[in-house]
Amino acid sequence: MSELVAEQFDDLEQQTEAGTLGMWAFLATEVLFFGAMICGYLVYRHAYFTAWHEGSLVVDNFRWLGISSGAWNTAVLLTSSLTVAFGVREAKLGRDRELAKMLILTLILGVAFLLIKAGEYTHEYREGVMPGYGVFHPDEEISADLHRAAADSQMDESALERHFQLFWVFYFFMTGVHALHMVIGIGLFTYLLIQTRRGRFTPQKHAPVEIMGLYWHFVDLVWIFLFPLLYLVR
Amino acid sequence: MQNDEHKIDSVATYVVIYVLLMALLVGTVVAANVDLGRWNTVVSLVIAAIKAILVILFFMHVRHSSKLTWIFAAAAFVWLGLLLALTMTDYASRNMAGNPVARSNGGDYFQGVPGSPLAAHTDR
Repeated sequence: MSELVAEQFDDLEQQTEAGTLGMWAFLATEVLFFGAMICGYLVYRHAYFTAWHEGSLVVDNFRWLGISSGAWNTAVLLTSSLTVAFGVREAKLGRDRELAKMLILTLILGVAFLLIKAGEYTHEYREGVMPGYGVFHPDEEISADLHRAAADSQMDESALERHFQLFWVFYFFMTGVHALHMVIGIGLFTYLLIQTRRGRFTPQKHAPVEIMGLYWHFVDLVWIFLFPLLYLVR
Repeated sequence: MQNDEHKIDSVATYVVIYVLLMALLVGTVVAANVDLGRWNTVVSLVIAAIKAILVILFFMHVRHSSKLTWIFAAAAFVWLGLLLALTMTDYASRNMAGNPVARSNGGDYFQGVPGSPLAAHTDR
């Protein structure tokens, strides 16, 4: 028992508590990190509503079986959160084989999310909406929509196109930084899987599973807000 | 360690929360395809907030956590609320009647604002 607890802690419970609290302190900084991006996104949505409306329509238009990739990805991430919750439960019960299974399922779902996202990015690159000199050339269909939107809202078309490009800067930054968090999560869970296989976790000592689980749920949480903001709110 | 025992939720609890989350996802996608005017935004963000609360309380086990963890988790969202509320009240009120900035540039409050990322452009 004593070797489980580092010397600065009274007991195991206090040690676990400190770990959880530390993770929440980090997650609080993450809330504000993503929050600043979301805040910028909302300010410009308020200022350039027409461009944001047209942008969301294009984002939500990449579909499979009539359902947008954003909704599929939300389902994938919510399912991965369930497997993480199950994994933490198995770790508490000390069932290594079941824990390993849940970690593998989570990893598969995490990779599935990134593959769907990569499909979206490829599609968007082909549509010419990826921002940047020489890259940003919206295809005919989108250009026609912008032309119509500019006429409807009595805006200068070149101004609308600049606003539209800014929408895509936000889109790629927000989803890109989120995807980076997913990549880090997949790395952390691969580490957990290796440690599980080595038999490093017991019902008394499994704080890494719980704490990295919190991280995974948080990344899911960010997506829960990015999905309506980017895909649904028009 | 005895009181650790009751902190292990049943499989059924997680499954119920998961089913609720998926139902909310279906709900938000369906609601987005119905024209509710301004209420579309409200509905999708309220659903997102409910999903977030379910994930935080059940999947992240905050409902079993200490008061101190509650404070840390709540602080994050209180500060986020301050950031969003104060920023948006600023921008949302700039075009109100009588605001000299709104009068002088026809409502585009980024046009000609010193330090604005768009100050170099002349929109509209």
